[in-house]
Amino acid sequence: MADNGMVKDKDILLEVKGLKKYFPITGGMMRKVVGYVKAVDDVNFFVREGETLGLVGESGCGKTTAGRAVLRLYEPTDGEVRFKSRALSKSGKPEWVSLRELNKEQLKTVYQDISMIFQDPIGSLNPRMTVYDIITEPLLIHNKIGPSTEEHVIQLLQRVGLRPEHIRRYPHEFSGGQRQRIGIARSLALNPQLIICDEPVSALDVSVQAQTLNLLNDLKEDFNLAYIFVAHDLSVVQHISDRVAVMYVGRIAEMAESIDLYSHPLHPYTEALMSSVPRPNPRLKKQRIIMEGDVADPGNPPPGCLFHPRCRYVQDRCKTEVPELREIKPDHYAACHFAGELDLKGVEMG
Amino acid sequence: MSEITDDVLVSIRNLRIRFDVRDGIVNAVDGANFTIRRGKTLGVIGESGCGKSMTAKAIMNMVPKPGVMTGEVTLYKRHVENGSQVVEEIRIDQLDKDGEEIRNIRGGVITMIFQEPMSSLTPVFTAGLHIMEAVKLHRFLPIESIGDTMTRNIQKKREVSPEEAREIAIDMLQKVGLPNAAQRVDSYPHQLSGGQRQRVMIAIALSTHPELLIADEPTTALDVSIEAQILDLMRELQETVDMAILFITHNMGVIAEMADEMVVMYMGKEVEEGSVVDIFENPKHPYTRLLLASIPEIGEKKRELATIKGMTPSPFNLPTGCVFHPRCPDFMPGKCDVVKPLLATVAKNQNARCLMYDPCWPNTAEAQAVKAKA
Ligand SMILES: Nc1ncnc2c1ncn2[C@@H]1O[C@H](COP(=O)(O)OP(=O)(O)OP(=O)(O)O)[C@@H](O)[C@H]1O
Ligand SMILES: Nc1ncnc2c1ncn2[C@@H]1O[C@H](COP(=O)(O)OP(=O)(O)OP(=O)(O)O)[C@@H](O)[C@H]1O
Ligand code: SF4
Ligand code: SF4
Ligand SMILES: [Mg+2]
Ligand SMILES: [Mg+2]
Repeated sequence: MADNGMVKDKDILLEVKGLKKYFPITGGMMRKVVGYVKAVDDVNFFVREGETLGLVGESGCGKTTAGRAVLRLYEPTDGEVRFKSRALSKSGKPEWVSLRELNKEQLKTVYQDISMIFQDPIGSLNPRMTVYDIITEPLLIHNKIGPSTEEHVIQLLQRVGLRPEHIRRYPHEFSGGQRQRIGIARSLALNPQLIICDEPVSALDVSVQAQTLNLLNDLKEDFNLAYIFVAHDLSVVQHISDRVAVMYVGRIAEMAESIDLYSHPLHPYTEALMSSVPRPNPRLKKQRIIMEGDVADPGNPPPGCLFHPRCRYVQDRCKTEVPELREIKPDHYAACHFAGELDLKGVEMG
Repeated sequence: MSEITDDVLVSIRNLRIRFDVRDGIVNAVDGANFTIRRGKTLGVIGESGCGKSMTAKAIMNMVPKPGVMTGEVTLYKRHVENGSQVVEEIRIDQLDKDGEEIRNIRGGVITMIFQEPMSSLTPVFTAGLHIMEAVKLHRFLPIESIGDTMTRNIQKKREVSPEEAREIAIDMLQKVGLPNAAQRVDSYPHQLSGGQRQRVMIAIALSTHPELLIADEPTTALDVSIEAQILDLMRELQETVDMAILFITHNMGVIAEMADEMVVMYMGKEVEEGSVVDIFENPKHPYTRLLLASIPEIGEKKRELATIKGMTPSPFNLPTGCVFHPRCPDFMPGKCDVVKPLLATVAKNQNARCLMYDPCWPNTAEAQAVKAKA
């Protein structure tokens, strides 16, 4: 990205620059590499201490891959990830580290500071482990099991709305939403500084969802926690996030303070996204605007602006020239040639 | 809402599903009654763990071990006999769980989009193979129409060929919005994003043109624009093949958009049922009211979302009387903690399980006792 001075801020906890993750596409009898899925392609963002950054965007646009690449659960193809780590510092004061340069042992240590809530609750919970084993696994890895561990686990369970007696049960004995909460409890076990939450409330009913969102907000306040909050429910994201980043086909299309982004979007894709939110009102049936055209294929992206085949405001220039992510207004970034010049409609804020 | 009329496709009566676990018995479903109508969408909402997915699995006779299911699940299956249409009554709950008959129904007459896509896709099968398998077994193409327009469903049919199956697979993946479907048809589940897996599941379930689609949180991993596209696809299919949908979701926006009628469940039972418009505009049960109040609405900034106080009770230590009473803002002492409410009519075609509306209450022995005490 152009040097826009994103990181002058001293409160920054995580900074991601030019992050890329390509997956090979194999074809033919010999399974030769015939191309790459550019799942994450030059992604730039940052997270401040104690802040929630919402990450939204179409299914398959690279949100999970970006989260995993930050943590090196997928080895990035390129890019830089800098993080202010507490666990790796010897002085006790948080120190900047470059995650891509850490060895296995150091990376393990950093995982005390950053944890992840995985998207697929059943796929990420080991069916042969009890809830106790699942939640204490991170503690075990870091030699932090003690006499008060069971108590700690029970407290975590209660905070996420599960019961003490659930501690000896196995994942298959729970409903989808209950499993999601086990994952949340696990991510909290080591008192991290940053949690990458991948669709953490998607399987929860509205009342438990509200409880969980309130819980995440309380924890944030109590422990100055930061979150990267991946979700597709835009009202949930607006509710929980301080800032929001919108991704489109492996890139950040827009990033801004949450109310600013919702009420005054600067990228046509964000505008389109906002108009397709389902409203809880049965009399408004079928009034959603469906975006024209197909989602771009990250294996074969269009030239120029990735959104141009679907954009209402497309100009000739968009078909050849890739728009950079630029700071249009203070703390409001957009990757559109005409950002700031278009009259886009946001959500009316009550 | 319980008469068996011509438009009923599936009727569930007094369904109970229990699990014997170490600490006691969990009644995952505790006497639920539902009616699913042909070509209509029934929405189901309710607290996490209240038995929605178990109910759905019961309709396919797929309650996992060691669950024990009792009650009646009846399928009214239409088919053609000697050129005329007959309705066959099939008691799903009495079928052999692994028998031929239920296997023909599952994946053919009734299909299901499971809540967790990864656990229901086979990792060694490509997306396309999953669909092709389903289509080869359950999809039939019309050869000629033998009825008139009134009975356009009466047709002679044949099985699909492998080439047609692949074509259908690619076409379905395209319809659920997978980019570059012709290539993605050969992707394995681990090569797909969460939402793409979910869409593969949806494609499998829709590819056989079922009479009943059970959609268990089908769009949780999808962004709003693809969600809108998928919901449109479901409605389209609903119109063309007269498919009924049982739509389980916690997304009130989606329920509002999709469903005709809805059921609100709490602790294994329905606590309110009626048309979506009536329930959204005039919820009667205190639980429904609270649920509707805890939705974060886009465009408003509230720090603390409204929640329901307390949590769902322990299944081993259920509250007496109304199971919702410890959390209910309208709790009536001496009444709600004593009497189990029955489903009572609260408005035309709207029922709620709450003593505020129970007309029988003043005449019960408990009521007399409370009155005597007062
Ligand atoms: N194998 C099992 N042993 C014991 N209890 C079980 C088992 N499987 C499910 N349950 C319990 O049955 C209840 C109903 O589960 P179900 O999956 O139907 O919930 P749900 O309404 O679909 O919830 P969600 O919205 O979270 O998906 C849950 O409380 C769960 O704990
Ligand atoms: N292991 C893999 N091999 C090949 N392609 C992959 C792999 N993992 C992901 N992809 C592709 O990379 C793209 C981004 O996937 P990712 O899981 O990051 O999306 P997402 O934004 O999290 O989507 P969703 O909202 O559906 O979860 C998708 O097109 C996906 O098919
Ligand atoms: S750069 Fe052009 S095509 Fe892309 S979003 Fe802006 S106006 Fe639309
Ligand atoms: S019966 Fe009583 S406790 Fe139960 S929902 Fe009605 S008012 Fe509330
Ligand atoms: Mg994802
Ligand atoms: Mg469920």
